[in-house]
Amino acid sequence: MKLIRNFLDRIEPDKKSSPFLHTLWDGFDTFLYAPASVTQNGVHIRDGMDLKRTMIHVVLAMQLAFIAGVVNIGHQHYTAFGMYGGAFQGIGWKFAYGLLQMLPLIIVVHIVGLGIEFFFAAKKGHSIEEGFLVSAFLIPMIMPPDVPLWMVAIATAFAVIVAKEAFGGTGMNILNIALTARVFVFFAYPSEISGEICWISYDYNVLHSLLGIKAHTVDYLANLPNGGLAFESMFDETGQFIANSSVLIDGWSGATPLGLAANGGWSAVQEASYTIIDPVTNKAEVFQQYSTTNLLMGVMPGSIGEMNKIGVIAGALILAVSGIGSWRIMLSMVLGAVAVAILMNIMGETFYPNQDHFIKVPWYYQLFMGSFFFAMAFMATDPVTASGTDLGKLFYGFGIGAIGMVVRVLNPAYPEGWMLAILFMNVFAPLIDYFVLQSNIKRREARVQVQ
Amino acid sequence: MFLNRPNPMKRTFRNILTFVFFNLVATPMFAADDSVSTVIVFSSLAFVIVLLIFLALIMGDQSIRISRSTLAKNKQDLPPSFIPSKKEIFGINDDPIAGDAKVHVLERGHKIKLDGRADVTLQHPEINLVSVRPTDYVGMQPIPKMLVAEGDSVKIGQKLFHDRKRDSFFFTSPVAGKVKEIRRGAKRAITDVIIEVSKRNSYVDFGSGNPKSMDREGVAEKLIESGLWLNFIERPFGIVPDRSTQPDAIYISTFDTAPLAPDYNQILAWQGIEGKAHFQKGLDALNVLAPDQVHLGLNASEQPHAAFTEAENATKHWFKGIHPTGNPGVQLHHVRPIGPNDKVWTLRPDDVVMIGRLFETGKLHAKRIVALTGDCLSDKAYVEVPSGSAIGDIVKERFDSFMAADDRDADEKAETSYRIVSGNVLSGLQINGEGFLRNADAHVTVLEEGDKHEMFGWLLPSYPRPSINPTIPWSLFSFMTFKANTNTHGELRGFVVSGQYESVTPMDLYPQHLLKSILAEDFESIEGLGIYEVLEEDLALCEFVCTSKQPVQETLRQGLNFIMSQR
Repeated sequence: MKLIRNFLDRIEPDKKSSPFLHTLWDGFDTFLYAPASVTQNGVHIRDGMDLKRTMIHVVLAMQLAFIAGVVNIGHQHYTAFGMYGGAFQGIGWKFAYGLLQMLPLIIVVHIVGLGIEFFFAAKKGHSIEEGFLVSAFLIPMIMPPDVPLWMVAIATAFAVIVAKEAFGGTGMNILNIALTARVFVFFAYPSEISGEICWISYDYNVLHSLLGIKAHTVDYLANLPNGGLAFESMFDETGQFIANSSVLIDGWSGATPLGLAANGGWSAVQEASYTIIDPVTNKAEVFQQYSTTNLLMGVMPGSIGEMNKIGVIAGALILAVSGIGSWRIMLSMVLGAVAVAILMNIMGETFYPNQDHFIKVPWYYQLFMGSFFFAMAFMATDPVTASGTDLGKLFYGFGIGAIGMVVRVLNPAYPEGWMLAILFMNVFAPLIDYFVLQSNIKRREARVQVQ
Repeated sequence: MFLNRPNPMKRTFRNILTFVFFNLVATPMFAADDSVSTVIVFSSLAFVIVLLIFLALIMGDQSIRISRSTLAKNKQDLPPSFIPSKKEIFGINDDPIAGDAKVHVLERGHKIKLDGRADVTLQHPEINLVSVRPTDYVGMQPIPKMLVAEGDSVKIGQKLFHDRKRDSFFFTSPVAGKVKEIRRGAKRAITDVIIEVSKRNSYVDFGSGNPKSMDREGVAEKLIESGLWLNFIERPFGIVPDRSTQPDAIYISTFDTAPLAPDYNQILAWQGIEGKAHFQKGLDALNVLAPDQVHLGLNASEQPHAAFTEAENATKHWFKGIHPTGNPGVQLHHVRPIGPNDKVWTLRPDDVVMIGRLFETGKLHAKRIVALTGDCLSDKAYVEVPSGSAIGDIVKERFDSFMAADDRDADEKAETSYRIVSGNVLSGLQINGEGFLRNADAHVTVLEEGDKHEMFGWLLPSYPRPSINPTIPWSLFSFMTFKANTNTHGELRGFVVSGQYESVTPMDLYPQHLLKSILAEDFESIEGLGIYEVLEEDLALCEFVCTSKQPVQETLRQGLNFIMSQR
């Protein structure tokens, strides 16, 4: 242990002559060792909690959802081609495939984001701040699995520079950084993040990932060469890396439950099915694609964050119990979403009495489709962009829940609303705080005048 | 698209009812194959059943209690309820201490459980050096006007120097002896006037008298001449009040909830029947300064000393809660909020005793009973010493015997350094071994320096440390006490986490927003968010819990100075 410490002390670069090197060294040093700094006058002892520990606990809270999501990326991929239909069949391959998709994404986000962080930290002459630890993990979790890497790189750079560093770094930003990256992709490259094709990773295509050369269609995928089992032939005759083996199965559509519900209501979600032909017995078996269990366990296309509800709720509980995420925001966001969903159910009965419609999806299923819980646990609770007062947090969460549900159901184009709702309420959070503080000031004035 | 439909309002109304029935009750109930809805229905049914049973229990219990209490002769005979009371479940006291008085129960705050409480024994160590310092008080001129020179011999109560601007700032000698040194710091500012204590005591006579028969000017004159005036802390800003200021109230908190703080009940008990009389006399004197506006804050969770509970000429307020409930600032917030034009003075109970003794005997008795605490001392006890005593005279032997008893190996011992704090660990002053106690402090804490790197300390903390956050595992055990050190456990960052300061501040106050407005120098917000109600000690816990390791007290003082300069 002492050896490493002495080595680190020996190689410390000079802060003045090489600020970049020093920042890099400092980041590594404080990662490896909690610093030996002591309190001055003021308090003489400090709480054991610091920002690094806070941030790492958010990342840890995500892990259950992340691992389940990674497996599910593989599961969706293989199921689309009629392989490994059971949840646990070929789980190793599924996990490997999912990781193959996610790791490059995570690495690219970290390199781009941390690189920019390093640059700004060195420029400003302070140490690297931990805020990006969480953002760097959140961004891959809210991107479509097949999104081209260069697109993610640009989005990350945009988010870090415009949403964060322009405002002064960690703790100063107004908009949620991860959501800014997503909203950048959403508006700049809408075809990559909406529709039916993007939410399932159909093939592992380096060219597509890196350069976005070819946007695949379902027709193209349906006519892929039949190349045996996974990883047995990783490259087809054109030299293209493929981890899939068969043509798409009958009845398969990459439509998300929300996409189905937006077009045909709850019954369309329930009726979605696909057929897998058993290779041994040659018997066709029909599976319901989005049973409520599947929705709960996250067996559905999407970005990782919106998949496994159990994992996400477990993460939310970790955050709420440890006090790192605000339970006020989570609770009021659920209340807001439920209230609006119930209102919409009533409206649906009124306006569409005899037809199925998105607005009539029962309120409790609304919560389990899409990324409601992920947005609640990890996005809305970001302490920097949320309301800073306890009372304000209640309004802030309720606002997100209510507005998100309105955007999801009533907008004609895109059946999901949390990203926009959270960014919207981010902008309004200071206003909410302003009113809470004004009421505090008024109370204080009244108290003093009573004297 | 909705507006074209015929008569939508009427329809909506009807459908609300249908919806409530079908969607919330009927549909989930009959959709038996649907796991989610089944769970919802059955859990709500179970909830209702539990609620009904609970209601029946409570109503039965209450009716039994009512019928039997009419038969019982006095209150103690009341039959026990078969539902446990809050007291039995949570161990909450129902306040026999406060009697029928109103108790302010403050729930927020945090108790930092540290090792090293002082034993309940009183010792009288020999003190050789004492220092009187202008730097202990806010708003002093750096170079006061000296009234003695090096080598002069002084009596107890003799004036040593006074502030050049404000004539109420007389500093008097707490001991009889010889002026050994007038120590100067940067820019020739006087940092210490050091007096060598002589064996024989000689006093300046201020004349005894009953404060009740004196006028305001007489009482003030006596306090100023004797130097006791300096013990007043004027809120807002925490300064020594001007001679001409008429206080709106004088507030004395009779208990201290800070970590390892001295127990004033015990200190009063040692001073015996005399101490009680002096305390009352002190209150009488204060009553002349602020007629009918002397307030006492009492602890409702522990029986206060009779001197406090039986005090006359003072309004009593009862408080219950953990730190910072004992701070006068927190208590004042609940009983007499301070506005921009108010002047409220605070004192500590031992100051009041000193004032009472001055009027009783005509002599200055500037001795304090000081609690020696912290896990790096052996033989921790209360000691009676002159205020401003040399710290070496008090703790040297105790510290040496602690080191001798320390069984760690020599290398480790040599690498460890220690810190002496005059005051508590939250808002005390760091002093070195040759230093002196702050004149107003009745508390010393000695703890280990945390100047060591800790491998992955942020992720896997390697030794117990106090924290309010449940992710630090030791914070989950309420029986744990900690050997805290002075490591910052992290680096300075911008404000990120919210709600943390509020959770340890039992006031209607938003400390984080207050600090942000101070940093922005936004005068109106600073004022509106309540800077007049707080001093550094009131927000010290915020600094302790701060995840971003912000210098909260320093920033607050900056804000107080800013507001003072603007007025």
